[in-house]
Amino acid sequence: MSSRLLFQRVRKELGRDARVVIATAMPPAVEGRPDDYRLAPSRLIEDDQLEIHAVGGAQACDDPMAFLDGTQRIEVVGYVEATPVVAALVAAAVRLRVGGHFTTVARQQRAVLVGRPDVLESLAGTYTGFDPVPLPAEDVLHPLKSLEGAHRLIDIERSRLERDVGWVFRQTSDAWLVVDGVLADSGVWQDDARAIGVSKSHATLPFGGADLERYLTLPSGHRTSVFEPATWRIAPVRSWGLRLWPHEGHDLFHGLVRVEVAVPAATTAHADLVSRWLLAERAPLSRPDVRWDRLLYGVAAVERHLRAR
Amino acid sequence: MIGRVVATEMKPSTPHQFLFWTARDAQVGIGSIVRVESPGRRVYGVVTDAFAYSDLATPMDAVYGSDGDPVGAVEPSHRSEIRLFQTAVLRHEPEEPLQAVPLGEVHLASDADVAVALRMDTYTAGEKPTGIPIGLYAAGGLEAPIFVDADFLLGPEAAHLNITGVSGLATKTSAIEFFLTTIFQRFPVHKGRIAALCFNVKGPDLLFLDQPGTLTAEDRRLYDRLGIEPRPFTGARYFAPFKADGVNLNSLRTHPDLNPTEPLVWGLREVLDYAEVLLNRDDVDAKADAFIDFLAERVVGKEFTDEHTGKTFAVRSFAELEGFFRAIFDFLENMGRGAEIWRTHHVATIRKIRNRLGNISTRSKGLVTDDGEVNDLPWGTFQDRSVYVVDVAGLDPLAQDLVFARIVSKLREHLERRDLGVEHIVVFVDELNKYAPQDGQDTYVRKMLLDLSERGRYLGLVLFSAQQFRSQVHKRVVGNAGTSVFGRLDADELSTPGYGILSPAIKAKLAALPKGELMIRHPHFTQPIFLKFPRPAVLSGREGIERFPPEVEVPFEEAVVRRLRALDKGIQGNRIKDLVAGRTTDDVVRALHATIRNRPDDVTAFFIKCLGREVRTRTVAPRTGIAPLKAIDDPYA
Repeated sequence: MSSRLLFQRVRKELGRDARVVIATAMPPAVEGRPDDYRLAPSRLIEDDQLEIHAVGGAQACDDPMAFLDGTQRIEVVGYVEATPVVAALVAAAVRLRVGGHFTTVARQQRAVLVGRPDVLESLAGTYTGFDPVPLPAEDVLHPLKSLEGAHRLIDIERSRLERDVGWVFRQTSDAWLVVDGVLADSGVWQDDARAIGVSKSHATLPFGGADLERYLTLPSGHRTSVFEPATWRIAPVRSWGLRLWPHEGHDLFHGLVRVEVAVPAATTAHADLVSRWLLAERAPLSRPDVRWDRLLYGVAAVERHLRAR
Repeated sequence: MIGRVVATEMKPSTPHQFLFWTARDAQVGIGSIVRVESPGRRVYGVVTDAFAYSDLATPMDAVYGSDGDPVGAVEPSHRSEIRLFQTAVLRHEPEEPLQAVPLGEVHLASDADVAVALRMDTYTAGEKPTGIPIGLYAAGGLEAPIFVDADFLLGPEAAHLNITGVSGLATKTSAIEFFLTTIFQRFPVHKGRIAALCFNVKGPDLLFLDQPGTLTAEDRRLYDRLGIEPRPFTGARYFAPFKADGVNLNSLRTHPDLNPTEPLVWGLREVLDYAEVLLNRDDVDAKADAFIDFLAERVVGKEFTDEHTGKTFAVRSFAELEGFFRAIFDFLENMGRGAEIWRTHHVATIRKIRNRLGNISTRSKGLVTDDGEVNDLPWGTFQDRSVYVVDVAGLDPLAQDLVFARIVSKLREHLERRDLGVEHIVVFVDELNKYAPQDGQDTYVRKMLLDLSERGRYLGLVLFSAQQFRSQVHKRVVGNAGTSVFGRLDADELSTPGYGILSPAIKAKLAALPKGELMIRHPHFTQPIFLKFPRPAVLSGREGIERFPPEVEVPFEEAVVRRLRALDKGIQGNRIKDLVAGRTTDDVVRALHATIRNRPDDVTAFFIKCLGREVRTRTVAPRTGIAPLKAIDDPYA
């Protein structure tokens, strides 16, 4: 069943309860995920100071390469006593590219209903197909705070699904795996020499001061020195910035990604090789997605697959 | 399963068409028949168009993504691409209520599916099946025989077949020959007897139908798959007029090893009955009609006495008709100035008819005999499952028109009286755009073909026609063809309005259709179907002319011997040559035609009898003058 029909059904089911005020839209103030913008200075691994390295021309990876990404669709389906009830469909998949063609090799999906614990309890039995996820007590006082909390829970749920499908994929394949996002938040990839994290987000920047300026003015086709981000939670990783497209005339963040690999794989040669692979992944262009300058086509293909179902 | 139906708000499924997508390597293409399965409903369709596109938003993105270098760009991922097929619905099950095509699984059609999709199950089964195999549908490794309904191909429900295709591929002729083979072998016995009459209008196209052709193993496999025995038309009979000399046949089928071509010779009566053919639009008026009627009813073949001149005429030949006209003109001239009317007919009208009739006698010398001897088609004794070929390729266009008009009219008369010998006759006319053009003057032949196409099916008179440009044929002639067949067509023809209902993809396929493949429209098929057919089991015209080259034109005496030898192989050539030596050409031709027409047991004796006693020329000794008187001595005597 498509997500649209799934949400329609749960609204219909909840609507049978007289206490539920059916809703169909998200309050604009909380659209999207709240990002925590900050600087988190990193430890340089490769050079004594932050250097800029030319990585060479784009070079396609001849081996099979997989891409992992997840999606989430969130809708407010109703309110009970001024508290939102949020439905979400989260999904994650791995698509393996062999000979240029993609095949979906792992996929998971979960529908969750997020709300005040007592509300979810009282609605039990009125809806089907959704797993209840209660909001923490601190998020239930203000409706918008509740929505923000719901977002956070759903993000966590999506990350969990991504880890799960990655793990499932790795049980059967040792192909290169490009993960959309960071590796450092997951315990799955800490020793995986064939996992490559590509982060499009710059909410947390790895340097400050002159190094930050250097980092953000990285020329196209160049990478920074390898460093260890300060933001790892589960296990340390190695990382570097890579400019996929010239930023001149656009924006400092245009075409800038941060690459992560596991510690055992972090050699200079490997950083250059992976960078050249990623430069090759600029084509085909992932337009019309607005993030086309940082969104690799393989990752976009996973997203498109998940959104189409 | 090869695909799934897709429908969006912008491109929804309807009861008559739908879209489905497949994997990139699916064995499906334009013309493929598919089956859609969904709970409680099954839909059959034929692919009419195909689309492929990727997720590329604009071509400029490809340029940008490759840094403007389409050759050197590294592109490790192939863009997602869709193979989308537009499909026209052939049949719904159940038929009612008629609904939009559901979002179901799509399968390639099997043999049984093809039969149902094309409604062939309604006429190929039961106690009296009427299916006639016409070719094989092939797609995705599947092959299924395609049957047409005899009731809709040969009447009475619908009838006639028209085939269009570029010239030079021999597809049209081959297809007609193959269709006649299947019809003769599979036309249901309960529907009666059937024969075919083919006009050979160009070269040697249809002149070797009784000779086996060369078939490949693949051809034989196709015949086997269709349940047809690959064999030539062994009983085919050939007719052709003489050349102007009256003894050499005006045909390329004259090789002595072949069954002899029979001469087609008509006299004044045969021509006069179809005199309208000879008249152009300006000629056709009541006066001309009245005078022709007068000739036909009162003069030709009868004894006619002109009360003005007191002369009696017995007009049986063109020569005698000319004498009749001469007498009229002499009478009017003798009457003096102002005498322009003879028995209510104006002299100008009489002269016009005389010119027209004289014209056919001159331009069609060889077809039209001056002596009244006639050799014609076997009216009344047409044989079941036999082919009769009339070779008019070498005839003057006027004479061709006359042949068409008279033969078709005679077929019609006999079918109306139910005494032709068969209940159904297929008439094959090639180059239809020449005989029934969309534009141009309204000729007798065009009117006759129109009438045949509109009313022939009730009589069992069925027109199989062919042409290079369907758009140039009279709309009512091709429009009345229940079954239309299309071979390869050129782009100009495909751009004409008549092909507007075909999708661009089908047009593209038609423009490149290989030899041996056709597209067919038949009343039971709601959409055109592509099929392939085997090479006909008969010798092609080109091969035939190489294997059986025509005889070189021989001297008059030798030609007479050959014609007589066709009747009796034991004829002694020298004796015949001695017999005709010194005789006038007209006498010999008259005797020859009479012998051919009567087919006597003793050919030589009959020929001698017809030739008549020779009136030998006698040398008269010049008179020597009056002998001088005997001299006498009497000087006063």
